[in-house]
Amino acid sequence: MTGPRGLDRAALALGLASVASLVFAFKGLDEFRFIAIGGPSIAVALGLGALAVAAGLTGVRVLVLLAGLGFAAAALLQLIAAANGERWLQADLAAMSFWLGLAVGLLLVGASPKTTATSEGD
Amino acid sequence: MTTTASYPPSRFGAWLIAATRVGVAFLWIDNTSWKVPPDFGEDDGGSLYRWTLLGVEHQVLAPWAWFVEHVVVPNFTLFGWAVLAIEASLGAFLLIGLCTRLFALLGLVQTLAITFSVLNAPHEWYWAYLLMLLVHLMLFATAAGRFGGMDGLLRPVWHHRPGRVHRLLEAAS
Repeated sequence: MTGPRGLDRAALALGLASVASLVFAFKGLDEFRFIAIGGPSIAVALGLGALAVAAGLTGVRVLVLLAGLGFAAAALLQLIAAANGERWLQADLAAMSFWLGLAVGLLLVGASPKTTATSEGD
Repeated sequence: MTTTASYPPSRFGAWLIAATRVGVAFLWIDNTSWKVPPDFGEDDGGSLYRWTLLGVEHQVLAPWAWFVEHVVVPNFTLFGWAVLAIEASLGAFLLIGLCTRLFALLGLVQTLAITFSVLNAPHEWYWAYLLMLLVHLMLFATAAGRFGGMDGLLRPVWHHRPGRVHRLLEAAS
């Protein structure tokens, strides 16, 4: 489905994906721990994820944009930390890649017009 | 007599295509974790630097080995940033299903580069690289971002907008 509701559902899904990424805080996943998150990065995943979920449920595009900008900032901060040998967010570059995806998706949803169009492949 | 087939074959099939795309995205996401700037392992001879040199020490293709030795290694920092940018973007864009066909092709090219570097290295399993190549071909062939991805949501929007950028986005998806 495309249109406002489809895009709102995308924001909701991206937010839920962020919350679901908390599973990677569990070190017992061993080689299946695709993303390393812990400490402050848990707050990033939970806080910004919840914001995106709320944005998807309410359809308020400004909130979607804010969540997207938040993930973009977190990804940039993680890149700077890694390049300086720091672990400010107690995350890794895999988290940066993950947050980059969420940021791009949320920013696109936030910037899309609230008009409907015929969908394909859904 | 002509026959027609619906595509995807079912709602379940669409979910499987989306799940495969997200799974491949997580492989690339995981793979970015050890490409650590700013030296990418050059200072201690580990990490990406070590794996890059395998393309010379255990040559797969002579022109590729020459390229690594004479172009990549002397400009290793630039190469490291490029690899990080490509692989982080592959993870990010395949995850959300945006411009999926373009990134499936990029994944194919990156897989070939990795294959030419490490295929003959000790303890490497050649099936892994064949499977990586094939799964990216599948993501391209199915236009996997149209199922549960941003491409499926945004293609209709792009289709109704004029301009070259929107045509390019349609083609990339």
